[in-house]
Amino acid sequence: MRLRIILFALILTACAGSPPEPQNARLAQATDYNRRGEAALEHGDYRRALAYYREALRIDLSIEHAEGIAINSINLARAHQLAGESALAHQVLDDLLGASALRLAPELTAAARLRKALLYQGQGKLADASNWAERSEALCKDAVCAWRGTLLNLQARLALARADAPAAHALAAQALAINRTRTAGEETANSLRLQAEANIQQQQFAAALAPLNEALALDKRLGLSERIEADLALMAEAHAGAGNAEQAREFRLRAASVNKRRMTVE
Amino acid sequence: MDAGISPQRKLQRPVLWFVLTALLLLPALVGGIAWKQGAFAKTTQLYFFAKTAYGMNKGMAVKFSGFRIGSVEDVSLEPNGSVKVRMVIDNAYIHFLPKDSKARLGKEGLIGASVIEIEPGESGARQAADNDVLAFARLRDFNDLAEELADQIQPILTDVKKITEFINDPGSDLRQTIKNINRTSAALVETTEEIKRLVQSSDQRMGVVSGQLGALLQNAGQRLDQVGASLKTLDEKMPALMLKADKTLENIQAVSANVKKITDEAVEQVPGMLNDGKAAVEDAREIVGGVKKAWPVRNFVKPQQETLIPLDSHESGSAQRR
Repeated sequence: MRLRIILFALILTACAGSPPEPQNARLAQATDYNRRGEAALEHGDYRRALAYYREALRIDLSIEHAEGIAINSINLARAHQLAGESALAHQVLDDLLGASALRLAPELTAAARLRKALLYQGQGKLADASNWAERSEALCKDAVCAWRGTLLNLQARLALARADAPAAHALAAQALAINRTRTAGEETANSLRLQAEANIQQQQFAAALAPLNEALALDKRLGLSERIEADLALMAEAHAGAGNAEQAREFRLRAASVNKRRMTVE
Repeated sequence: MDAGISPQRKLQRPVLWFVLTALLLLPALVGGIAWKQGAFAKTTQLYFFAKTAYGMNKGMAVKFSGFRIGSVEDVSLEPNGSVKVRMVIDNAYIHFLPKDSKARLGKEGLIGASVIEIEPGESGARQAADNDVLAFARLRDFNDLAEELADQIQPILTDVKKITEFINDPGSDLRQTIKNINRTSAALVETTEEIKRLVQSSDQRMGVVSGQLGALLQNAGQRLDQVGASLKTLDEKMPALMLKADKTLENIQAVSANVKKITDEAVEQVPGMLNDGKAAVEDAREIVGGVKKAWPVRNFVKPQQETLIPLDSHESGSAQRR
């Protein structure tokens, strides 16, 4: 009797929840290519990633799947950038942003504009980067936007490049508040590192130590060697500025050690 | 008469003849070897251009239908960054090669020595002549196949991980549902017992009412029997479903083992293992797909979506990949 009741309740539960709508075959294929592209990128195989993302994009275009077109275009641009093909990366994003008939969700348009800004920043074209960051911000004004924390971090970085440390600190603080609520570990660590860099730029060396400690702990948890090295190097700089020569030396050695091991691992 | 000639003098003449003969035969021998090696054979120079010189080197064999028909004479870097490869083809074989033939970089066996394979064109073009440029393509080698295999495995592993996490997560809907059902069923059993007791006591006082109530309970029991019968089938199928999931994991383990073996073991096993791996991947994909579509997993596992590479504010300020 008890078994019957359990099974009866179980079937009722199953009937109550409607199964998610299955994907059509073309979309499933595009998703498969998208995921293979991601795996190839993880392995540093940019050529293969480019091929997979191109194929995913081709399928999405053939079924006018706007979201997929945007996602795979942005990913394709990143793969081009990593392969050292910045011009092609810009071209892919320009094609996407110029396709007015697509009616992209504002958040995806903001993501594409942010990718443009990051591309320009990577090329050292800071004025263009600021311009595109502002255009992204026009569609990504509040914390509801998934890229808000990243965008603010980028703007903080650009402010640092302009030697506007107070603005950089304020932007990084805003970004930190948003990234903490999103439990976005990498971006939270980026915000903390940017705050510390702004502190160092303003000669507030002691104030830089706390955010750097937290950033270091986060980056260690995420296993991001290159950022751990950056944190340690900034720690050394902060200690040196504060007059702690011995600790500065110790952090420099740790940064060098991480760098050496990182190079052999990569 | 000859008694005055020394034995050394006697030997002088045959030695002289021997040396003279040797001197005459030596160039003939050298010439013969050179002819055998193709030094006097007439050859045709053909070229092709590749993006990279990876796997190509001077002296490597050029083959046609498995026969050596020439060799790579020179590999050089062009000003535009492409790689120019010069091949010399024995004229005895040049009639096999129309101008639209394709040169392909392949391997003898999957991890054997690299060779240039010439694949004849199909358009009936004129025979290749000196300094003609052929089209070039790389054949997929072991590394390409292994990488492709790894790419295929990755999404399946993610699926399996998600399903396993979902089943094992104490906070998952499935676990919570089962917990709730257990709790509810215990309460229902108690309630049923109470109803029975109540009916028994009521029976003494209200015979008619209890009769009706008894019929009602009997009716409910029959309905539960019907539900129970269909659920029994489901109950029997569930272990099979879980076995399928186990089989998926076994398949994936087999694929992983195969990939490891590929790098460690003998050449002749590689193609077979790769085929096994591919078949296992297809099986695994099918089974995982089945599990994902089966009740109750389908209600809880969301279909895969295309994902955006995370936008990272640190990426452009560093050499890090992502």
